[in-house]
Amino acid sequence: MNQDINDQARQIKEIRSRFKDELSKLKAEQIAAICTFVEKVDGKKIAKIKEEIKKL
Amino acid sequence: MIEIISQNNEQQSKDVENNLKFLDDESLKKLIEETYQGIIEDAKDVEGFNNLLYQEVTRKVLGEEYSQDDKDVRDLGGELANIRTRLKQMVSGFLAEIRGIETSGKSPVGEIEAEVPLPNNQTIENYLSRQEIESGAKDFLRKMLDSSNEFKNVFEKKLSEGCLGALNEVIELVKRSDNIFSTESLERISELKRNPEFSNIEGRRVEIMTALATPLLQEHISYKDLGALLSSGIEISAVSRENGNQGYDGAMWYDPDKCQIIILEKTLKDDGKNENGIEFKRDINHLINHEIAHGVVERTIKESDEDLYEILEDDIERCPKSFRIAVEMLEKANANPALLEFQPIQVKTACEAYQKMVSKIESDKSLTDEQKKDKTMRQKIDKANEILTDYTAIFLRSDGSLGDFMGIAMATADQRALNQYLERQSAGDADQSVSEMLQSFRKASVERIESNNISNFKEAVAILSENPKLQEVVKTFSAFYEPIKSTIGEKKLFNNISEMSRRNRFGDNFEDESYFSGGLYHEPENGIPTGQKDVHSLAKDATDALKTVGEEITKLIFAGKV
Repeated sequence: MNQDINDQARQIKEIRSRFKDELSKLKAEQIAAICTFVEKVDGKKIAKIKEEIKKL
Repeated sequence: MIEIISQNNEQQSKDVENNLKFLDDESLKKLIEETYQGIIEDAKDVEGFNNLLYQEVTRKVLGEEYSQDDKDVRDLGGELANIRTRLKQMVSGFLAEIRGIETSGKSPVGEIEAEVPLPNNQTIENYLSRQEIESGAKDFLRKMLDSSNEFKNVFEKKLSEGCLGALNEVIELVKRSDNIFSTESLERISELKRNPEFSNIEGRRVEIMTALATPLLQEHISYKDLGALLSSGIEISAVSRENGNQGYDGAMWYDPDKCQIIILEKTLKDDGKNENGIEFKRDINHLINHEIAHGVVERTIKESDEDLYEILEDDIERCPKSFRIAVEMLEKANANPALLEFQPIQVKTACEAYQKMVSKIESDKSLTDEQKKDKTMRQKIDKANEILTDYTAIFLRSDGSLGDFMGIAMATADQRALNQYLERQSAGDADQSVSEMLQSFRKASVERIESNNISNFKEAVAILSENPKLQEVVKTFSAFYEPIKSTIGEKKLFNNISEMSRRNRFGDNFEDESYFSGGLYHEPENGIPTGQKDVHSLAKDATDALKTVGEEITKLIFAGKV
């Protein structure tokens, strides 16, 4: 019985770890999206974005 | 040896993390709970940042100067919305995995909630309370939401999906609701309020705004697109347009030179009985979107009427696909009138008017053969344009899917004629399910009209469309849907307002202030955008900015704020 519990706990930890990996990929995509956006806008607006991002 | 962990929860948690072999039921339960909540909290962080990026950075910070209907901002909004959707799916998947373990094992974790909503599951009122707009505008938006379940449903859907870009576009429109009508028209509305036949004229104003907001909410056109299409706003006219060539009277029409919708005054009358004593309800949403669609078609079918004339004479295959299908519809309807039974009313009217006008031309003995050919061709172009425009309006109202497109097309058909068609198609069918399907369709049709309940109707249409006997309907609707979707979805209507001035017929008059009076177009503080910045300096700016902003974001990530 305790072996079952340990197995379940390992599975849970493995799920948590996989979730973190997947979440990191989404975070990276999110950053890529904002960077692509930034790439497109001109200098004045970029300064404003920078200011705001610093506040986050 | 099994050691029962009996210390405080914090210590227990650490032991669980480090020593799986010491686990018991209680500590496993705690681990599951913590993991479950941890996933939700992590997701909330990412989603919160996602919302913040779009709402605060692109809209609030940049504001009017960098209007959010700019293509770049819309692209960003789309990307972020897509990430949010995938995030939700991912969270659901992982939580389901945990629940799977929970149920397969013997661990008592039943009290963990099956579904924990993500933070953007907010109400319309919460959303409105955060909007920095005047209370009058908020009240107006509330009226719009109350006036149409269809609009409210889409609004709630966009809110739940976190599509703030679309919602903000609607807010921009509502903020300028007082500018839509010219001063003269507003005065006329005030006068008409005293007329008992126009007792609901304020309600009509709300319906008009709701109609204008629909393609913005469905993300087919931007606020700026709409502003360009309606730069002279909406006028009310007491007299009908000179329409001897139309073959029918219009309830409203679009002036492509002034970019204006003109509404015939009597169209704003209360619903009631017509001259034949039949109850009617005006579909203002569709009428308005039809007129907006005229502007869209004007700018997506680039060829002038004269060019189309030449192309049609030469080789119809050279026509833009959507226009060619509309021309073919006129010809098919002539050969097979049953095709008209399931068409949207304005398409049916255009086909019937074409037949009527062609007969009139043919029987006119004062015309030479050449003149008859010329007049017939002009009728063909005019009516094909009407057909394409109405299907474009249907697309503008839809969520962009074929099912929704077909649902709205059927909803705007003459319901009596459509029922006749459906009954004939299923006549003699021994299959009980066909009759049940038709019953559901009719029930949903009634609900749609009486209580504005569109969801059951769309579902009924989706079921109907799978019936092999209705493939003619599906084929016809699909034929229009594909090219219109492609045109509106892939080409941006206007990159900016100045491009529009170059392309269309405004010419020098575009600078005339009168074009903006009473209209939607909101001139930016720095004037109308002109031309492109030097490409090399833009590229350098972008590279520098990418580097610095990228660094800032990276710092934030490592600081654990992102």
